[in-house]
Amino acid sequence: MPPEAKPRLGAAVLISLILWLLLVGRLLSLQIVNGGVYRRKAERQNEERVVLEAERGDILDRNRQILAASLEVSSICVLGHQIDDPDGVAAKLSRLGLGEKEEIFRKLSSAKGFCWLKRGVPERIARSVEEQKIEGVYRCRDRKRYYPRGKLAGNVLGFVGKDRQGLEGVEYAYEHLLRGVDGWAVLQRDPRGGLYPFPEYPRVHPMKGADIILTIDANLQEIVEEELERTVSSYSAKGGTGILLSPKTGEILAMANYPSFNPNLMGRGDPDTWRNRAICDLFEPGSTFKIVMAIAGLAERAVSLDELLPVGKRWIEVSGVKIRDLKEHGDLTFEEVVWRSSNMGAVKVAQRVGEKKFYLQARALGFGCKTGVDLPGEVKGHLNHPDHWSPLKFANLAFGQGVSVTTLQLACAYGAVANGGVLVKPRIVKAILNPEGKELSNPSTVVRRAIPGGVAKTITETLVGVVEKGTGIGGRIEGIAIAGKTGTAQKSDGEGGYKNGSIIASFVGFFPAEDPSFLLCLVVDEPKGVRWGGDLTARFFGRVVRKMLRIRPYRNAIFSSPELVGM
Amino acid sequence: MFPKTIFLYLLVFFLIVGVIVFYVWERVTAVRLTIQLEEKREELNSLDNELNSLKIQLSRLSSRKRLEPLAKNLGMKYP
Repeated sequence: MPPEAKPRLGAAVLISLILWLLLVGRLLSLQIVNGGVYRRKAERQNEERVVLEAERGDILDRNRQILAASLEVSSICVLGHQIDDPDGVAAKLSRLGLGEKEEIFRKLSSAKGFCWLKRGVPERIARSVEEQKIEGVYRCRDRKRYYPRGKLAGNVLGFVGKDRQGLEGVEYAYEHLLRGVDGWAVLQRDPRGGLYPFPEYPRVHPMKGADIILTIDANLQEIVEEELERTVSSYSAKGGTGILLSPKTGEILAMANYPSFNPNLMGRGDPDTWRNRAICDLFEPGSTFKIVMAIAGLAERAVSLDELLPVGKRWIEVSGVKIRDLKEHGDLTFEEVVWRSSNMGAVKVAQRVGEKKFYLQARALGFGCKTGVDLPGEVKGHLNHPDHWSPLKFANLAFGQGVSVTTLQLACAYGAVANGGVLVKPRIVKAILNPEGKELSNPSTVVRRAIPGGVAKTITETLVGVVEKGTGIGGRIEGIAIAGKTGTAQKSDGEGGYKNGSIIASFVGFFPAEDPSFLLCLVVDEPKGVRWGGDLTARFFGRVVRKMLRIRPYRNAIFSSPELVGM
Repeated sequence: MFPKTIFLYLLVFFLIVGVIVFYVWERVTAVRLTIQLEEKREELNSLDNELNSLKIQLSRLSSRKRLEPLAKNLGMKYP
C-alpha cells in the first residue's frame, strides 16, 4: 500500500465505523430504548380489538312457546368518506330494493363515517347488494328482536330499542338477565384491511343472555285479548284490561290490554298504547270494592250473613247527600246486599265497621300499595288515611267511589278471598333458564294473611250467589261454581267531579269456587250505550271461561283436578 | 472420503434449517386451523340462527288463532 493511501484508508475506516456506530445506535434506539412505543404502534396498525356481541335471551310462555327471540339478520351499512357519487350509488341501491332513491341519497350525503343505511334487510336484497361490490357500501351482520306472535302480550313483553336494550315491559324489567355479556377478540389485520383470527391472540367468548319463562300461557292470552277486543269494539269503549291469574300461586296466566301494539312495528304505533294499563292506569272500582265492606263486616262481626238490613227506603242520606240503589227493593239480608250490590246496604255495614277498621281491611287486601309484580311502571293507587275522610267520603268508599285501584290490585284482593284469605304476590316470570340450560324457578311469595280463613270461605259462598242469582248472572256457566262480583263506577272528570254518562264496568270472578284455580278480572273503560256495566263484563267473563274449557288441560283442571300443575 | 468436519457443519446446517422449517410450518398450520375454527364457529352461528328461525316459525304456526280454523275445516270438534 502506498504510504499516501494510509491516511485515506484510516479516514474511510473511521467514517464507516462512525456510520456503523450510528446504525447500531439507531437500531438500539428503535429496538430497545423506544422498542415498546414502536411495538405498540405496530400492534395498533396490525391488530384490532372487536366486540363479540352477546345474543339476547329469549322470552317464552309457560309452555315454552317463543314470544320474543333474537335473529341474526343482514343490514346494510355505509362508510360515507368512501362514496364519491352519492347520487349514482343511491339510484343503484334503490333499484336493488333498499327504498326510495331520495331517502337513500339523503342518508349517503349526510354520512361522514360509518352509518347504518338499513337494518334487518331481507337476505335476497343483502346478497344482491354484496354482489354489486359498491365502494363504501357493505353488508353487515346484525341482530334483530323478533316477536313471532305479533301483538300478543305486547304490553307485557315490551320492546327493545335500536341497540337492543329493553325499553318496556319484561324486556326492560329483566334487561340485566336477557342482555348477556359481550365478549371480545383481538384480530390480525391483513394488508387489504381484512381481519382474521390469530392463534395466540386473546379472545373472550360472549355469554348468551338467560331465557325468561313467563307465567303467561299464549293460548289463554290469545283468548282474553280476543274477547277484550270484541267487547271493547261492540260497546265502542275507550279501552279495557283483563287479567287471568292463579290465585294460589300468584302466576299471571294472561294480561291483556286494549288498545295494544305490535312490538315488531315499534316506532310506528301510538306511544299511548305502549303502557301496560293493567298496572299503570287507575280507576274507581265501584261495586267490586264492596268486598272490603263485606270482609270487614264479617271479620269484625258487625253483621251476620242472614241479618236483615233496613235498606227498603228509596234512599239514605249522608251529610245531606242522598245515596240510592239501582232498583228499589225491600229490606235485604246481608247476603242479598252483596248479591244485588246494594249501595245503601254497603254504607250501613261500613258505618257499623267504622272508618279505621274499614281502612285497615282495605290496606290488608293490598289497596293503596303496589302489588310488587315484576313489571315496570306499576302505580300504587289512592286510598287516603281515614283522618282525611268525611262521613260522605267514607260512605262513598263503601261502594267503591273515592278510591282508585289498578286492575291487578283488584285481581289480587279477590285472589286473597279465593286463596282462603292469604294474599299472594303476583308474578309474571315463572323461571329463568340460564345459558347452561339450568332452570331457576321464581317461587311464589305469600304477602300476608289478609282475611280470616272462615270469613274468606263465607265470602266465596256469597259471591257464588252473585253469579247464580245476583248481578253477575251473565257470567254463569252450567256445571261450574263461579264466585264473582260485578262493578259499575262513575268515571272521574279529573276535577273532583264525575263525567256524565261515563262509566267503568268491571267483573272479578274465580272458579271452581270449591277450590279456585283461576281468577279473571275484567275492566272496560267507558262502554257506550249501557248504564250499568256489570252485565256486559259478566258476559265477557262467561265467554272467556267457555273458550278456556276448549283447552283440554284447563278443562281437566276446572272439572276434575283443580290444581294448576304442569300446565 | 467426506471430511468429518464438513459433515458436522452440514448436519448443524440442516438441523437449523429443519427447525426453522418446522417452526414456520407449525405457525402456518396454527393460523390455518384458527381460521378453520373461526369458519366452523360462523357455521355453528348460522345453524343456530336457522334453528332459532325455525323455532320462531313453529311458534307462529302453532298459534291457536291459526290452528282453530284449520281444525274446524277438518271437521274437528271442541272437547
